Amino acid sequence: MTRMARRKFVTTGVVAAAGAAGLTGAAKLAEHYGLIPPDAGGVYGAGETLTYAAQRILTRHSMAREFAESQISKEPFANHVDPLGDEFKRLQNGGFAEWRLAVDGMVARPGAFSVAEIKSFPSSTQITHIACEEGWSYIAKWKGAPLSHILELVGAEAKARFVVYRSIQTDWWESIDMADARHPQTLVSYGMNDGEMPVAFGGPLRMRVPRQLGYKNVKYINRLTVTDNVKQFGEGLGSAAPEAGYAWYAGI
Amino acid sequence: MSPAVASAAPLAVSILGGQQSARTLHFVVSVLLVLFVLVHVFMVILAGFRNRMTAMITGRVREGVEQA
Repeated sequence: MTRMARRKFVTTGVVAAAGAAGLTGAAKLAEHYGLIPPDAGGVYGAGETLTYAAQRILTRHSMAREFAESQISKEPFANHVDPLGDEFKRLQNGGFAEWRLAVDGMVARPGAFSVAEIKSFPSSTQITHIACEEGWSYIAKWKGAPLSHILELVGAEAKARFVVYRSIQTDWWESIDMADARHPQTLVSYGMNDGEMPVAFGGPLRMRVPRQLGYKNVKYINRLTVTDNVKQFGEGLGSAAPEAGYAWYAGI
Repeated sequence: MSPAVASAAPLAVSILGGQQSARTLHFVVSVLLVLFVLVHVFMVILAGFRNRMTAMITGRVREGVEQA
């Protein structure tokens, strides 16, 4: 072994050892700061983790871009909705007066809110872009109660890490971390383009998460659960999306 | 295009003419990249796959076996 070759060998060894130690340390730090998504296992897990961690470090408090009234899409695309069932029709016939959004989990004051109560909360309006994994997108004006306000109202515990939200369509449920749940633009929305939220777009209540893809914006929500562990829901991947092969974190 | 990255760096979207234009450009450029790779791999095969791969990895070329 020549002098140069030995030096190279030693350098390589030191770099590899530092790398391995660094990775272990990084994994611990990432877990501590909540940078590991619930779907971190599996074939795409490393990629999901890298994307989520990088975006949480760089975009934790960034605001989704807001547009002018003139940029609102003339014909927003209402995606296909599976048949909504008898229970939905019954509530719809009653003008959604009996619709309730239950809030439970790690909260001091669990409860259930009617649509009218949610409309009485301080409201927020935004003109933002919604884009689907399938490719279509549109800009609309959304009105709703900030999720952060509801979390404060029910006294969400400080150590909570996720908000799980479920729909009257039981196969479509999602969860978001606290960075998105407490984000000022995340709304429990009930209005669209200066009118009521149409049923085709998720009325009476739709979760609006403008920094993530369309499928995180669950329609017909009726239950919020505040939790520090999403492993106990469904297959333990955080939401219905990763169970179907999509990413849990859809900031993409 | 990433809604979260667009929130942090809206200029990146504006430069590409908006989200849908960026998407179209992405498809065109990705197809061009794939074609680029296919053409170049084909050229390596034409020039002698083993010798070219050895040359790329070790920097050594066996004399007298160059075909192109």
